[in-house]
Amino acid sequence: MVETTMETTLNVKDICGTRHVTRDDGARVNERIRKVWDRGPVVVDFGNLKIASVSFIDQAIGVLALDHDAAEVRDHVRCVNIDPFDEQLLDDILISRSRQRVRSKAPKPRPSRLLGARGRQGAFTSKSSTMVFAKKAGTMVARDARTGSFTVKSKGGTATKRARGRSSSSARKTAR
Amino acid sequence: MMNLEFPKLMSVGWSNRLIGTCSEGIDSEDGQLVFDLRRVEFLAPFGVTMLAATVLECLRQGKACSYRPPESEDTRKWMARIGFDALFLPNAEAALRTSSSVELRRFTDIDPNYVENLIEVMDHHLTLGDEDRAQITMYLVELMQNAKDHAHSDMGYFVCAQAYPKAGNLRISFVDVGKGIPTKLRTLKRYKQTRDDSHLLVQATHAGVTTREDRPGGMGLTFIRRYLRRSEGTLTLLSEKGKVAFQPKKIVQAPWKRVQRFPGTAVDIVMRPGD
Repeated sequence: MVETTMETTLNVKDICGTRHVTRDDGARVNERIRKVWDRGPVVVDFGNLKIASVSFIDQAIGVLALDHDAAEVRDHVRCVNIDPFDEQLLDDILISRSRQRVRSKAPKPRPSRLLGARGRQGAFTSKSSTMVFAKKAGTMVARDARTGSFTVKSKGGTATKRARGRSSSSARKTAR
Repeated sequence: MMNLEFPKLMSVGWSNRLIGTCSEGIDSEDGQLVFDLRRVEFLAPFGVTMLAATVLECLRQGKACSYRPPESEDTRKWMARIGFDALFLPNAEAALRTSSSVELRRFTDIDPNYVENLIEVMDHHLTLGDEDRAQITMYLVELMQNAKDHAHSDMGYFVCAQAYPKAGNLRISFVDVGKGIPTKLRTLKRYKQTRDDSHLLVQATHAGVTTREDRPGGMGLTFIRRYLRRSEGTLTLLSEKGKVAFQPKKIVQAPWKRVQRFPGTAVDIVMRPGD
């Protein structure tokens, strides 16, 4: 059996009209994305609108990263005609939501044991190129000073965001 | 008749004295209040919104309010220009609603038009880039959304913004006298026992911390804080007995025992366009 997928295009202007600010507005877009999620890739056309609203973007697309890997969301939902500021905002939101997802899934080991395991694994080998800026029980967020990329690590998986160019998120399961 | 004497500088740095005086007026059982601003020489947006919210709350309580204008001519003129006098007119609410000033406004809902107007006015004083415009929009929209969703205040919230071309910065202030952030956060199990309001304000800026039940949230303050830090700006949160200043390189938390209680939430933003 050959499985076929179909790309669906959603136009923000058609869905929201002139109201593209609040969580309620974003929820309308999210509802449409979820409706067509199983059919195949979704293209969200922002029509060069300037959104600049965390609430809207988070509710429309960001919250999807609570249910799926950030990379999967990025691959599945393609945003076109989006303002550069909004694109950056979306990337940041996906990273935050992905971090939240990883954290909620991770068991809560003792921090000392967690850091010890990281050291042995060599995940953050060079102190000169890596700066750890946040540690929580079960998760660790680091910024690579050389490339500027952010990495969120926990037992549940890893999410990375590149700092320059077209940023994207990727996730992979760590074998443990 | 109760005389409320306000300090010389009405800015976020003098919030304790200012909030103390405002709270005195709100809590007073005297039916006649005089807002004595004679000594006032400088009013930052924070001072204006705090004062406006206090006056309206006192009017709502049925108290008769009057005010003694500042002796400083510049300050007096500035207050008239931004529509502050309208608060003391017999039909204060209507007067304020029809005020053409975009600098001091009261809202009960999110108003994207105000955001656009405000940016145009600020752009006239400070040259704003696309990034600055987007950031200001984001800050205002998020704060409006928060005030609308969480404060549950009958009288809405006040917004005031002022550009300071000489200093090259822009100040935006939001004040509501609804439910404070600490009270809301204490409805969550994990913060039920937390006594320090300043600590709760810091927690409120962490991603995913929210009291929303119907859908995920907890991103607004997180991103305001994050983007302000990137642009070397400052975010100050005051709510109940908490006061925290998120400066670019450090977080200054006021000891909760020394902070005057403010029954609501005030947010003060200082941003440096073009940085």
